[in-house]
Amino acid sequence: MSSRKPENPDQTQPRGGLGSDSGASMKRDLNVPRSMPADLTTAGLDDPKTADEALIAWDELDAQLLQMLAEDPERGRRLRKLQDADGWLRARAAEAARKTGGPALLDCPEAEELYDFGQGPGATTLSQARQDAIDRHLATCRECEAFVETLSVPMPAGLELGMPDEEPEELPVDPAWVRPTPVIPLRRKGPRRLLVGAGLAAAAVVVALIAIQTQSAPGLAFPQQPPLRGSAGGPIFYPRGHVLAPSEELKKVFPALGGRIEWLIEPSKDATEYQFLWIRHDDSAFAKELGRGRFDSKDSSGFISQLDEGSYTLFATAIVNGLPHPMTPREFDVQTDPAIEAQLLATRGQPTIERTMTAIRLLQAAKYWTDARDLARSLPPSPERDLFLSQTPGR
Amino acid sequence: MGRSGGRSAAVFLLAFLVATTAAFLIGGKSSHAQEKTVSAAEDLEAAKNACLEFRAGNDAVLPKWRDLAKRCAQDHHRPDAQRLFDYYSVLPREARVRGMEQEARVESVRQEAKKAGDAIMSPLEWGPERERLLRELHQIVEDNRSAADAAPAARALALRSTLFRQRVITDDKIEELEFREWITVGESEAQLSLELFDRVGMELPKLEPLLNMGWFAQAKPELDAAEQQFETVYARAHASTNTQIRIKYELEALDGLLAVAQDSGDRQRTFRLLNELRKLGSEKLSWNVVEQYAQFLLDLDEPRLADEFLVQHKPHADKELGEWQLLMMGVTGREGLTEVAALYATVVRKSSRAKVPGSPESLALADMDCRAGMSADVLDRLDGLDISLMPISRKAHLARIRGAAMLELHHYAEAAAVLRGALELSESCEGRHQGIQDSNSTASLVGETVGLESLAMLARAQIEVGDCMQAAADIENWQSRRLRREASQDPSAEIEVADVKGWAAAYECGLITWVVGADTTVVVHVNPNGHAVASWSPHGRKDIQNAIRRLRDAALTDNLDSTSRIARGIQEILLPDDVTRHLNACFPGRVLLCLHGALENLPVDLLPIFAGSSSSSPIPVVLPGLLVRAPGSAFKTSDDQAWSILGDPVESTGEDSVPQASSELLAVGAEHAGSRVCSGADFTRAELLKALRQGHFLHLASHLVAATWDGSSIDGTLNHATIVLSHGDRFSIDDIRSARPHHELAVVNACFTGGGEFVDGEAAQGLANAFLSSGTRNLLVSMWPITDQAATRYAVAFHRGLASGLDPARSASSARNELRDSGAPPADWAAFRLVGRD
Repeated sequence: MSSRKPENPDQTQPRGGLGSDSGASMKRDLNVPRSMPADLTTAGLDDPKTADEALIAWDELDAQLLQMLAEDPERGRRLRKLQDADGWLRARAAEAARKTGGPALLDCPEAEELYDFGQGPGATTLSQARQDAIDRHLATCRECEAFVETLSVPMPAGLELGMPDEEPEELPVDPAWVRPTPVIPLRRKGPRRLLVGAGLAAAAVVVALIAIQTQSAPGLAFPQQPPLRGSAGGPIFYPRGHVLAPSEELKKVFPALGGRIEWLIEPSKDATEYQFLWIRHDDSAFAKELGRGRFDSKDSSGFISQLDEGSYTLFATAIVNGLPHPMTPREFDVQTDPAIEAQLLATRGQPTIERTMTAIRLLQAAKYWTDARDLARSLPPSPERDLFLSQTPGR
Repeated sequence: MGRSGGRSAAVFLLAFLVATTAAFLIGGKSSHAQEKTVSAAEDLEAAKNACLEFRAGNDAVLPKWRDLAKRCAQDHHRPDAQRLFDYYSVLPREARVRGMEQEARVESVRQEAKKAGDAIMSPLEWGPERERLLRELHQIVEDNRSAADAAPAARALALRSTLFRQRVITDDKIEELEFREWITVGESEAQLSLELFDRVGMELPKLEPLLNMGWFAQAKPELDAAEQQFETVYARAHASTNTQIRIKYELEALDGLLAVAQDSGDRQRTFRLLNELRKLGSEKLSWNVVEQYAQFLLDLDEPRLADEFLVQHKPHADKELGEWQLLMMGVTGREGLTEVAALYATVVRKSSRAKVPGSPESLALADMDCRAGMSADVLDRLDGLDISLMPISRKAHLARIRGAAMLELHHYAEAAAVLRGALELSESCEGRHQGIQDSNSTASLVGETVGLESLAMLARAQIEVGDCMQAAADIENWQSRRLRREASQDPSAEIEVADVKGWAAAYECGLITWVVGADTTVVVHVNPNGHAVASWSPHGRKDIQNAIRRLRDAALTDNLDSTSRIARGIQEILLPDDVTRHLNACFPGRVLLCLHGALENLPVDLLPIFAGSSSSSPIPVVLPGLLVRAPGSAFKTSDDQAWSILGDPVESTGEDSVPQASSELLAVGAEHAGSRVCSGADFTRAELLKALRQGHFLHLASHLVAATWDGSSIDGTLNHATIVLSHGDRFSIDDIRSARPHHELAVVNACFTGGGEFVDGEAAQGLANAFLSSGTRNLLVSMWPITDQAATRYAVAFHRGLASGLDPARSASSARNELRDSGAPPADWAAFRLVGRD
């Protein structure tokens, strides 16, 4: 879990060059979307919290640990339920594989292929044979299935699996997962896989329920935006307001912060492309330009690499029928903030999820909305998280 | 505007191409045609051929045609095929044959006109040629007046109306009387043509006179009628199975609709229509669309995008390339890329047209030279120019350039006279195209260059000669004209010096007015005694708009440092020291701020001068211009203010969609005894209509939902916003206009109720405009989305002030201070604005 590439520091467009989605592997040993202590021992199961986490990742435990877990009266009962669900799932998957014909793929497809299969924004079309092969593979590989599932989840920004940890060098953000997804639900390929999907969903619900029960639960109380008396927040939603320029120390604690800035716009009907121009300027009324940069995208969301401290205006243009449609620009400023840094660093001792949730609330309250979303994306998927990410600012 | 000139050749050629094709088509089709099968198309084609054969003298084809006509009518829902049969089947052979011969005469004239169009004749050549063709067509009409076959006369009349139309929409030099005559004759001949086609039973050929009727209506101008005609043409063309005819008439109709949208200043519609035109066109953008879209981007103050767009679509034909270079010179000049603009100027200067005195190219170069400091040289070049044959819009442009040159040479009195002339000429030009009722020289047709920048220069010239009061009167007179005409119900509601003095006297601190031109901002403060001071700065509309947007974004994100810094910067330009000193000398009390165009979005409460308490700062009252010549009587406070208090919509599910509104309505009701509260499920269309029509005092608490974003600005979506009623119903801004609310004071407590898109110096077209133009005197609105909680807090504080005897302006100031002093962020209190006369 420590061999991932660092974030590409010069990512100016979501799919350009050595972008965030290059070189990824879907192999389970490289990319586990759940957190489990790597050095779990039989003694570790004495700790209720560790035991609960082990239960969530039961299918990765060795026989001895699994046996110990099964013998625990409470966790054993949950384990059996999980195993039943898993067995049912695999039976359905096998059935689906039979229906779609041919053997399942043994090796995980590349992330790019999965992305195309799930028809993420800007995806290309795979050949029918390749689609069928991936389809068969998904019926037997939960990680790949989970990835494809994320592409159909209606949320405005990218999904990062893997949680931030005390030692970020061991859990850097996987470039494979940083592609953002748009607000509107995406088309999902493969209606023929409904059966498998339903099974997976059922299993996911069971797992989620157990996981929630077993958390000592800081609760997923994401900050909510106050209700407004109307709506007119677009068309450029993010970045807006303050964007934190984190110190190296803070980046170690919250690797999701820094390195990139999310942008998100209201999709324009029939737009084939979006063109962006950011201008850095002084913070006066009649601002003087200090620098500029451009990037294009076929998607309505993405990331740009971290910008220098300063005040910025982001201009966006939708290209519709070959005609440029200018959007109302949006101001934001990238800044260091010792006060918020200190508050964020003070959470260091807290458990991962609790710490992240605290940080999200702190950032949101201090108007670092873009950063709060970045952190939220580093949490495991949940309805609460997705609801938070799907909120677009009304003003 | 380039529309008339740029479009003319293409439109004319297109018209003839369409008409030529249409001439050979007989019969039309109903709106069901697109659902017809191949056999229907085959039957129609066979019926058409049989008809042509029969008319040519082949009687033997009659039985076959009868069957086909019957089938077309009965099986394919094409009764016109039967009508055509019924008409011609009873005509004697000689009459039919003669009819065909006469139609060939019409076609011959059409081909001659088309050749003239292809040759791109000069106006001097084309004028006599057109006269000859019109005479020829007239003769055909006369020759066929009593003929049994009415089709030749119908076709000749249709073509005549096209020639009339062509001159009316493209000839800027036509005299007013002649212009009206040509419209009248063209319309009557198009109408007669339609009647004759009806008699014969021909449907598709009617598209030509119908289209012409649309253009005549547009020129009169009767924009609603024009729009209706063009939509009819579009719908009929769209239903045609003949692809060539369909696309060409769809393009023609869209071009007409585009002209109507541009004349109406409706950018949203302009934007949509340009997109429709684009979709109908070929893969490659036509120069017509490229030119118009680049102009549209310039109208939006987007020269950078216009530049990139034009570079991507550089034409190849010589004539188009010349127009492209001219446009690029202007676009890059607007971008501030003076060296690039100079390069284009070098190319333009070499063109033969640039050497023609008074040509658009020569004027554009003169304009550029003037900006480059060569004013004396420019005046020398322009002074001896013969303008007798120049179109009005070019005369206005010329006057503007001369005025600018004189201003730079410090010939202020002469500059003022010439610039006033430029504005009057552009108004005359607008009057031609928009009508006296709607004329507005500072918007749309002549637009920014002659309009607001000329006005700013005129005001500067007045200031330099020491007549600041006249500058204030000019600024007010030439802006917000449409709103003033609607609000005052007076089409000639001019604002004069005495009117400005009268308004200033109604406020303790007088009034301040501004004009923001392309490159210049002028401010005038008039104190209650009628004494004025003024100032100007070289900050144009784009600068001001960007600064205001930055200020709003900073306030909305609670970036207090930036908010404060940007607000100070804006104040330094909009209220320089000498104006501030003059204002402070009147203090304490209210000041009327006439915020025009780009300034309408300014959150004035954030400016340092207005940030103090009412005892230490002037109290702002805002208007988007002087609505009437006199302010009328002051707001009267009394204990028996009976308020209509409405809102708190519930959704169809029974859910409360504005959580705080219920308590707000109760609290507001408690402040005004005898008020009528209508909330929850009772908040219906009928109740709101009743309250709007009743007038007096209104408080409304709900959601305002912007229209779906279609690629234009957020402000544009607010032009078509709706108020949320209970049970999922919506109340549109058009509904408000129809109700004509005339309240003494109305509070519309929802998001962005003060927003909307503006065109040049005209008032924003949002919800506030609908109230003000209907006669509402005072209106409390919000300038951006507001939280439910802040909306309630502000409203309750505002009504508490009213109930305690404060006037609306002071109540608003008090409410703002209450929220601000309690620690609420600027986003919660700077959003609110009292718009009106107080």
